[in-house]
Amino acid sequence: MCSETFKVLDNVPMGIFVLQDDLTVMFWNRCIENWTNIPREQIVGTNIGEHYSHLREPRYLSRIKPIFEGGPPTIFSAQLHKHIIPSWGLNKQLRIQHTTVTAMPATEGNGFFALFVIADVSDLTIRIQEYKTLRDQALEEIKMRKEAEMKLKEFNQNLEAIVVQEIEKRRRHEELLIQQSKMAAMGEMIGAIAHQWRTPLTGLGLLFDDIKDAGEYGELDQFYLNRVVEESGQLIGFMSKTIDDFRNFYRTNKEKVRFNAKEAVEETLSLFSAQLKNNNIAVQILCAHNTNDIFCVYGYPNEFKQVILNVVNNSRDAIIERVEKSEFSNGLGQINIEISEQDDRINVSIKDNGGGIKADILNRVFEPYFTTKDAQKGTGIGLYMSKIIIENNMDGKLYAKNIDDGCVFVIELNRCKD
Amino acid sequence: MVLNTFQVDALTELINIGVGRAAGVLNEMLMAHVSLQVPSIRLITRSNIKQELEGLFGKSASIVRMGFRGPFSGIASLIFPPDSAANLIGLLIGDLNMEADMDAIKIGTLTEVGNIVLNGVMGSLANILMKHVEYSIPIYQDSNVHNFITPYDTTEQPIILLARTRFRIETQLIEGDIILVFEVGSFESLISELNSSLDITQ
Repeated sequence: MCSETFKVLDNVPMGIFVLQDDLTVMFWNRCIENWTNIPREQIVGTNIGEHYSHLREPRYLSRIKPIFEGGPPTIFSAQLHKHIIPSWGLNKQLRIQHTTVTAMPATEGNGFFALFVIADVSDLTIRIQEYKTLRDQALEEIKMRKEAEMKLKEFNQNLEAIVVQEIEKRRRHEELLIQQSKMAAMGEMIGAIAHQWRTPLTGLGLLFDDIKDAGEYGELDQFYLNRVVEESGQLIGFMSKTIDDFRNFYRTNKEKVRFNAKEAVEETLSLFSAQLKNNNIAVQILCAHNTNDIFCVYGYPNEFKQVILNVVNNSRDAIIERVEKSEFSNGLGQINIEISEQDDRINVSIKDNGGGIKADILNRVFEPYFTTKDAQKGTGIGLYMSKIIIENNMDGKLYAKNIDDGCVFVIELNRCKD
Repeated sequence: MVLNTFQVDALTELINIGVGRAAGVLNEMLMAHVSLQVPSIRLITRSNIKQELEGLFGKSASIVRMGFRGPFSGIASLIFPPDSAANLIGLLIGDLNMEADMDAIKIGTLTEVGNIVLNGVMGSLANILMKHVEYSIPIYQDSNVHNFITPYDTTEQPIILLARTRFRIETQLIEGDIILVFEVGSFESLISELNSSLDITQ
């Protein structure tokens, strides 16, 4: 009876079976036959509870019973009832099933049968699970990325503070260096003034002796006095000018100006030549051009002069040290300053025969506080300041290299075109 | 149509019985304490249907609906705000970190809950008539409730029976609305049957 009535359900690709009110199986379609490996002939006419005892439990029975009275359909969803008719799928896992039970009028017109239609939602469930896993991973990654971004942001904020601190530290350090540099310059100035004053002071001393003698010998007339006053005035004027010259030399320029590099070198040497001469060091300026105009540069003239002085002083100290160690064959120190121009550049090369710089420290001579001299002689900031003046303030270059018997410091500056 | 106190009480009682039955089924099935309450019922009639619905269901919702046909016809629906739906599923399967978006498996779960509740209510109503009502298979949809109800009736506005339900699972409270939309004439048939079955006179 049932086979004929329900035969059409064999063509449906879902597990379908029909129960009557006493839970006897009326129909078992081909699909569910394949799923369960229970042939229709074996199960039809038997109680479903004999095969699947959980269907006798109240939680199922209470929802199936109303169907036999023509009640509304009942749904057993896949999440709450995964395997209503447990059966193994091709993937060796139990099929996940979504079941709908509906009432259908019994053939004899008495009561209703329950039609179970089971959809295999294993693939769908697996796909959703995979999708959820992927999504969870993506969300986790996003979360981790956000956390990393937050940390990075925090780090950057801290970094900013560290950088600000470091900049401030460096600024203070440079201020200190500048201060030390000024003190060193002052020392240099006093030394230089002492050298420059020695001759006029001796002159003045001699004049006083002469006045004394003139007094004793009755030669102290008006003419004599006028001459002595004039000579003293000249000497005192020279001394005064010396102070002015040095003060100008060490005054810091506030603004960049156009100046002549060659003249600046000459002025520097004129101030300090007495000292150099005193140490038996010959200084020579070499320049192929007669006209000075082509050596115009743009920058801070006094700072530039200090650079020349720093480098020359280094050469001087190296030569003196060499003399003290008796390393000189001919005993004569030599500093040659060569000024040349090439294209848009002006080169000032200061060469000496002080023995050169050891190769392993050649790269370090411009570092702050790096010195090979005695603590009393060198502070280690002269060349560092020189590099800052030339490279940072005047867009030029300052470097050193060894040559035969000495070294050369090269200053490269941009030339003013007109 | 205006209902008298007895009729309102009778309808409330029937729906309470249905909801109580549904709660029993859910308890049994989930082995967790589920309580369902129907504090009150409301009848939304033809004249004020539009503004009532706009006020009640402006936003989208998760809806399980089941059609019925027989001595009285219409659509029975269980409606949850989206968050409530996700929370409910989360509680049912023991995952409280449930995302609000629905997938086919979650839809299946929610459909089953809707099915249990609606079966309880419809079974309770049908029982008093002692007549057979045909039901369609429950389906799920995400929709604006207003859009869902109004296209149903093209000629005249239907009568809507609204019962606000509260699900309480363990300590969590989830709100949902049971809505019965009756075709023209059907609600009158139901009330008439109600009158005769319970011997209530207008």
